[in-house]
Amino acid sequence: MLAMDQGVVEEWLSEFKTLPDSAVSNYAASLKEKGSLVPALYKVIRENYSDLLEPVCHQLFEFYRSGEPQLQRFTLQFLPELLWSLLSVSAARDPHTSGCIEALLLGIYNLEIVDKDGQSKVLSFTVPSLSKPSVYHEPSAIGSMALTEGALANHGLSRVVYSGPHLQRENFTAQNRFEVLTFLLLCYNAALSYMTSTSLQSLCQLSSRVCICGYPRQQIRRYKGISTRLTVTSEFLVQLITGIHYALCNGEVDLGSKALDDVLYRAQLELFPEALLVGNAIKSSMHSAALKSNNKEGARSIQVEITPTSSRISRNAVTSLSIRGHRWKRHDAVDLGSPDELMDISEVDEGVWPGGVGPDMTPPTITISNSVTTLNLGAKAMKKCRLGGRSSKDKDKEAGPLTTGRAASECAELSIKRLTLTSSQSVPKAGALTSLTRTASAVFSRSFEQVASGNAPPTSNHTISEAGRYSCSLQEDGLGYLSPAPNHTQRSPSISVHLGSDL
Amino acid sequence: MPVSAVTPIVSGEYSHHRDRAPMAARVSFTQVRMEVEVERCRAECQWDRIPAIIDQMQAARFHEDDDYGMLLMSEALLEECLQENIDLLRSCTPLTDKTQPKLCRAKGHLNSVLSRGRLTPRYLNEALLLMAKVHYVQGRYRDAQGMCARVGLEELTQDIQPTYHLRLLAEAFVIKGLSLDHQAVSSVSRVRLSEREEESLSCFLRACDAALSFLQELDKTVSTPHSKTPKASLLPPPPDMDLGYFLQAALQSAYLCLLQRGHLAQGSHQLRRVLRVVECRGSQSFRKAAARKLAEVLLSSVSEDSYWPPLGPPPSAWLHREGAAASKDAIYPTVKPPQRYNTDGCFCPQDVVEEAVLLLLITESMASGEAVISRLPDQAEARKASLQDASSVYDLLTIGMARRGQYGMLSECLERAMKFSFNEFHLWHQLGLSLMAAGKGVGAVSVFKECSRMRPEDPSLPLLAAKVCIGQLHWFEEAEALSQSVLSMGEEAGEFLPRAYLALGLSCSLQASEATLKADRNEFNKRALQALNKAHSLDPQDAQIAMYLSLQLALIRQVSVALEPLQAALSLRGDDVNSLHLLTLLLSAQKHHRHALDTLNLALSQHPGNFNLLFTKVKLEEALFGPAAALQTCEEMLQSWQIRYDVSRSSETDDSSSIPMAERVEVSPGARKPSIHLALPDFQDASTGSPSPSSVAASRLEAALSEVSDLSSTRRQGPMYIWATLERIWLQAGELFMADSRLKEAQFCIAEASALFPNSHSVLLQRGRLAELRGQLDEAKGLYDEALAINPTGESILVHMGRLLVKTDRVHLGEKVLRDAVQVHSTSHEAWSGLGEALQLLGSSQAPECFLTALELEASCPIRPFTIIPREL
Repeated sequence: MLAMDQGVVEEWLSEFKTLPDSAVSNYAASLKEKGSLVPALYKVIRENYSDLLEPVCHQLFEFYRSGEPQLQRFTLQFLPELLWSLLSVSAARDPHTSGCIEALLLGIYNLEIVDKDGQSKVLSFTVPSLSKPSVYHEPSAIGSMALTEGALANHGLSRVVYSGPHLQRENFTAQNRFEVLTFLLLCYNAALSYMTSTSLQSLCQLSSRVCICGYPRQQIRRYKGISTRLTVTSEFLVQLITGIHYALCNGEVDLGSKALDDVLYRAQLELFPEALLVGNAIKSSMHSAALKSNNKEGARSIQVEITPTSSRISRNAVTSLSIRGHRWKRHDAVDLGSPDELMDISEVDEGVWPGGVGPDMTPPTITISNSVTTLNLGAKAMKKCRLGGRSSKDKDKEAGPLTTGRAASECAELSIKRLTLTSSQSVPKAGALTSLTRTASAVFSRSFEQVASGNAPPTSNHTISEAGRYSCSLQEDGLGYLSPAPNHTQRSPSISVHLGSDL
Repeated sequence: MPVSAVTPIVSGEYSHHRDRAPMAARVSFTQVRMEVEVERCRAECQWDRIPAIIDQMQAARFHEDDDYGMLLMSEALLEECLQENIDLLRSCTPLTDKTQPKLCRAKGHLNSVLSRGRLTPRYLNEALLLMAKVHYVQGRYRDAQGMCARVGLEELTQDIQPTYHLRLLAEAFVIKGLSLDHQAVSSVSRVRLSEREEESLSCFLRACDAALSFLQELDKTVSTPHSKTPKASLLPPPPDMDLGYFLQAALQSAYLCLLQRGHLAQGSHQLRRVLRVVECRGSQSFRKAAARKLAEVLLSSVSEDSYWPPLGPPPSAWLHREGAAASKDAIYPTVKPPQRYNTDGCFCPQDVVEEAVLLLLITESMASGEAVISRLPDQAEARKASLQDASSVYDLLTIGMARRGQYGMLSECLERAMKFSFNEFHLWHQLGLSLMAAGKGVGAVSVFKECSRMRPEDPSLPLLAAKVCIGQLHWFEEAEALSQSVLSMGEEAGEFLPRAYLALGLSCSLQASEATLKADRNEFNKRALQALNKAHSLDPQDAQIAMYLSLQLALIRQVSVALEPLQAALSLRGDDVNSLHLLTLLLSAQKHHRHALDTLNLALSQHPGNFNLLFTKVKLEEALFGPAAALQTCEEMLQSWQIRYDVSRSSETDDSSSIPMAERVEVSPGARKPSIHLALPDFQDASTGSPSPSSVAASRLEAALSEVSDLSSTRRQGPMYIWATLERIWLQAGELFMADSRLKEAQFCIAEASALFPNSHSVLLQRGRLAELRGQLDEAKGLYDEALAINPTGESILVHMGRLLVKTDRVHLGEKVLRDAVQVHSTSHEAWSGLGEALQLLGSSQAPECFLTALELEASCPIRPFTIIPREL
């Protein structure tokens, strides 16, 4: 590390301490102007053994705790680098360095899982539904098909929780590590719009490395770091992909697409459906975007997208809309008719005209909610009559279109009453969480003390000390032995179990 | 100039034609009708009908000269030419006179009309605009701009206008804007450049509003039936209306231009503005494109923290970053704003994913409806285009919903796509993955099989199906066949080959555990071991494979051999819960209980609160320190259960977030919460039947029975396994109490478990044991019978039953039961020794053999069976 970088970092470390509270926001804004600071901090994080790492982590945590959004984002931009540092160190079973990074990450986590009042934070999401009017649509204008099938099954809006409440964590264990890291990435992803390109690049690198280290692909990527396989979870990969997607669309095309490929490679090997699902979708949408942009190459002006209107599609073509009178059997499992059956339907469609049903009659299905359609559809409407007439024996199944109209009017009242989320139930243990901020910082400083004092006593539980005591000696029996290396007993997350090689 | 003769109807009178009020005498009825017809055709862009009307007009001699007719004719020619060359227009390739006879003729007409100059200002304007259009399409942007400048736009913006004037207005603005934009490229001065950009943008914004208003107006006039005109009934339905290039450009240019210049916030703001305009039939396909674009922008470039709600202006931070002081719509008020959706009491997204998903659902409802299903060769192209259209919507929907873990809903959406996705691998694959992520195993497996049919060379597809079969469905034979299909690919399978051997090994191993015949079991075990050995040799770096190899060796009681691969597994991944657990069990099988307990504590430090580990801990403590010490751990387990599931049950459930909040509400205050009693009287026990794979069916059955019989089952929320865990804790405690000879407490614990699952075979077994200890042998037998009825192959049930029978002098029957036990559980030393006792009583010479076998097995028996370690891909 260059002396100059060190100087910049040291200056940065000292200036915040003396800052009066009133000047914090100005200070936050001024950080951007320090061009050499961020690269210097990256260096500190990458060089695990730097003396500066500990004060830097401490300072980054202070930034985060200040609550000033710009300072929080300043800290967050290093998250990918910090994660990589943590993961690679724990994979290498190197007990020395990750203590302060762990403390920083846990500190951020413990701050983020609670809201301002110290209540457990629950992130929830309203599932939009076409059966309820929105600022963008009117249910009556949506074709009856969309409303009868999925939407009405759970019409009205429902609110679902997608993250939280989370428990406060005092240390990393194999069990909670990815839960914490996934949540941290969620926080990072929420702030993606504010992240610098360096940070996005770092995220892409993190993703690639986590996924390929120890696998044959590592040679292809010519990455020469650790070669241990790292454990991952599907949810963690999904969060990584979300970040990669942003990077891909915002300037980091090369690194981003490499990272996406690497994550997909790993997700395939691990057979993770969630990660594969999103990764494939992004890949496919990038692919079609690339196709589009190839078309416009050369022309720099605005490219108007000429979408095929239905008139471009031959009038005779059978579309899903034109056969919507037909009801598919609904199964829980996907058991759609074979494509051959589809052909049959379309053929029948063109051919049969049951004599009794004329356009003047009102077969049961024609009660489509929007009368406008019937007026103007002409041939199409008549076709529907036909289908409706033919299938009128399935009358009970045909409740769909009828329900449509009713749902459209009812859903207004349904609306928010269904939101059953109340703060009281979302909070697991109010008592324990009220002063989390304090606890978080306490944990933080404790871990620093530990790091500082080298052989500090173990953080807590007796299991660890037991493990320490037990550097056992099955060796005599010629069986194998367990020996948690004595120097890292206080560092819980990376344990190593050795079995005697002389079995 | 005979102006009035050329334009018999002024625009003001026009709009009253529907009243059919007697017009001024100089205007004949036919003429009115014809004028109406012309204007309608011009509004609806029905150019093919213009020539006939012109002929009629000329025949009727309404006009003294035919400048008006020529104007109409040139417009029709020009528009037809544009329609034919829409692709050239898109790519901004200038149209030449040579290749475009229609354009050439139109230009000739226009030139002569303009040079004669006999048109009224209104029609002169129209002619100028047409000329601007001609210049534009021929690549003379400066001339086009000049023509636009000569048009009196105020003429087109008066209050009462024929509908088609709104179209002309929109086109005028967009031509001007586009011409400016094209020239901007050549501009040198930066200030001038930005001025031009600003001006063209303002043109685009106005063009867009005018175009939207036009479409809405058109909608109104069209929905009034023209019964008078015989031809009207033959009109194609308006949704089929094909917007010309310039109308499309008018609609799209504003946001395209903003997005292209990197003005993300303003671009999305503009998109939101246009999407809030009430839909009309002509605007459908445009709305579809715009909604998808907005969703794309939201998902790819707006993160949660930087999101702003749809009804507000973009935050100043965004605008500042994009170098704009305020959003544009404030600066350029439009002439005639289109009608927008009401915002009262309707759903307004609060989050970026909510908005994106809403937009995509709207788009999906259109895109999936338009998807072409027919597979006729001549419609292949239309089918391909519509499919691409739809699948891009599904891709975005996937990106959005996956961020919120909505896999169930996503699978329903993708399911809708299936009707037009025959042989489309991508959509099928996505459907399979979404079904798998949503936990719909049966559907996922059949979809993956279909995918595999489409791409037989892809090894990941059968393996995904195998994963579901093994982990969720317990279809082991199916899983075996699937992994075999990957193995048959040989080297082609690449890095999946070891995984395929692993899948094969696991499915064989699980079948072995299920097998009732010894020969089958041995065969399966052999094949499992072979497959796992192969997998391990192919990929020695895989910790999971190494661990399962070790487990398989352990299952066939090769305890010391099993330690070797386990060592490899632990050196690769030292904190893996299954490896550590297996090590514990192996150590206990070697009767190093102390070391086993130490290892277990190490595992627990990394996986605190893991109930599976804790049950093993209880057993070890019982063996080492006696039941009383173990009871303490049971008590801790109860507390830990209470903390984890009862107070904040929702937080720890691993089945994602899709449980609706409603389910999480604790209901009915009157209902007795089991947790209140979560305190052991003072504690002890025996061995809870570990959930051997064979008892899966049994546990399903008893779950069903419990549902039926337990009237208060409504009070239980959340996944079943939570309650099954509680049941097992109580039973474990009960066993410990029995071992400690504290029958009263044991009864209490078993009663608690029984309240949860009255028909559980484990509960029945423990009740039987308790009865047996109390000397109520008949009752005990009855309970064992019941337990056997539910789980006919349960190891300890058979053993206890057999021993009870032997004890009650029904030795032959007892022997039979114990033989069954030995048959199914050939590694159970208790069964063997029980059989030995029975045979001894009968004076059989086989008895010593049985005892020997029992002794041998006992020497390698772990504290809990090895099968408690889950075998999953």
